[in-house]
Amino acid sequence: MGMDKDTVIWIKGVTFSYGAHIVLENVGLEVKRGDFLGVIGPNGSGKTTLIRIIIGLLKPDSGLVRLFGAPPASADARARVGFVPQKVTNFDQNFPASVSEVVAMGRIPRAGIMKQLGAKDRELIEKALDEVGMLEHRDKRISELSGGQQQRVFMARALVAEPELLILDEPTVGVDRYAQKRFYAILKRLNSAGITIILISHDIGVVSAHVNKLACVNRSVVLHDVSKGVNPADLICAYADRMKIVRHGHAGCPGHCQDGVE
Amino acid sequence: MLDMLEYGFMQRAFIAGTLIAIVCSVIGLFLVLRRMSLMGDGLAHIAFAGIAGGMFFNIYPLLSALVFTVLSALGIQRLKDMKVHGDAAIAIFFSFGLAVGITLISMSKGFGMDLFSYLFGSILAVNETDLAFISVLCAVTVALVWLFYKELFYITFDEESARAGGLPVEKLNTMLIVLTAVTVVVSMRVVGVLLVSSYIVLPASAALLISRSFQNTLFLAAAIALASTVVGLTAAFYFDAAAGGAIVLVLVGAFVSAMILHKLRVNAAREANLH
Repeated sequence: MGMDKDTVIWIKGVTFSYGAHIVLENVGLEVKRGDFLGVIGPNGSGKTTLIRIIIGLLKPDSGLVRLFGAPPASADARARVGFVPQKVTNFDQNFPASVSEVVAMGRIPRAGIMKQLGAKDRELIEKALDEVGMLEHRDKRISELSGGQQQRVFMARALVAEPELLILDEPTVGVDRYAQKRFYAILKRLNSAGITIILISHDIGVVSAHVNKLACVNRSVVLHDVSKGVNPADLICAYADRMKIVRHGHAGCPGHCQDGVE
Repeated sequence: MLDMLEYGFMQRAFIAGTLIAIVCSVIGLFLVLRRMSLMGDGLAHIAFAGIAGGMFFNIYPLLSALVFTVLSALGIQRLKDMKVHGDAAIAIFFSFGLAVGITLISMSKGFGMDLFSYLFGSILAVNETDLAFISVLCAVTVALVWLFYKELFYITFDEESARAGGLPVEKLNTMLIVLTAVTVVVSMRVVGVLLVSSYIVLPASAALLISRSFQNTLFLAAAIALASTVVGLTAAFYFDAAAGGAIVLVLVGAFVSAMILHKLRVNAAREANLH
């Protein structure tokens, strides 16, 4: 491992605890430009904590974190990151916002505080909506959309900031299979266009079918290079003895497994 | 009809009422959506203490109320940062405000009646100084909301993402709470301490039932507040009623109408889906 101009994220010796409870211990991770990294692990394993440290929302107790070579809390580094949060936890379904208003939020960090959005911003908003196939719905109230459509709107909100790194926290929870497929197709296209992607999920099977690297988080972080082939059995590492892997007989989805928390 | 505007006090009441309607409905929308509806009520009781203090120490009451309310708003914010629940933090300051107010009244020599005009509001009470004070503060409030409109919208919708995007969420929250304190103080003169909170909550709540976008809600809330203020003030003049009471009754009427409209729309949409 070495930090160079292609290093997007560099983490070394990071430890984080909530009070006496250690969530992450001596964690290291490197993400390179163009990577598609899946972050997996059981609930409470520290996945979200790791992401919050990466984007500077949490400060580790010790260790080094660099985002685009800078401290993650710096405005410059943050402006290059698009973040798609877990929608279910962050979103009031009765909020009176139109689809284009939601996407416009993503332009604020780029446009600058107290600045009005201009013609270029509006152009980018349309482009981002088009990218995720939601342009025709731009005047609808966000609450009128299905879960999968809402998720694509949140993706457009992240894309409108023209991010170099896109981070998605459990983006397909509560979204049906068809919408999920469509969602992953969009991610794949963005990744091919050069955007580095980090996808948090606890659905190992689906994730490992799309990513080139997998980080198993469970207090520690173990990185697997999926493109070089990985034995799904190795991934049980992330789940220790808290989960079992359930095999489903989905055709065309070899090795698909889903966690079943016991 | 327009003969009431020949009176200076009615002109002042209408100007003040218009400004207050705009400020209350705009700040109210952010408060309602952030589940902070009771903030207005809590701060109004604190403002009451500021008024009593001003009268007791012979300071311009709206000024003492402004200082006391803004400081208390910051105190509530501080308590919340210290992990005291938001509603508990408001309740603590709410009781403190009332206690200060009641103690000062009991020790006073005869400003009781004057104080009542602040409790219930009065169109007769708005003098030139009040109007200047109210105008300046309303202008500042509207200007700040206009400048930070996008940012306030973002943190109201999704604070976590706003923070991830590098927005100064804590500073914006503090600004919103200070502006809420200002809104309460400027509204008291016309609608009264006891009714300020309905003036803040009702227009936004009515608009939320029938709007599509955020901007649309904002303008609709302001329109509802303005119309209700004009109707309420007029009714108060001709029926010799308390202005605050009249305005709030009209606002409740507007809210009920919005509820009926919302219900009709939902039914119509359901019909359309059935056929």
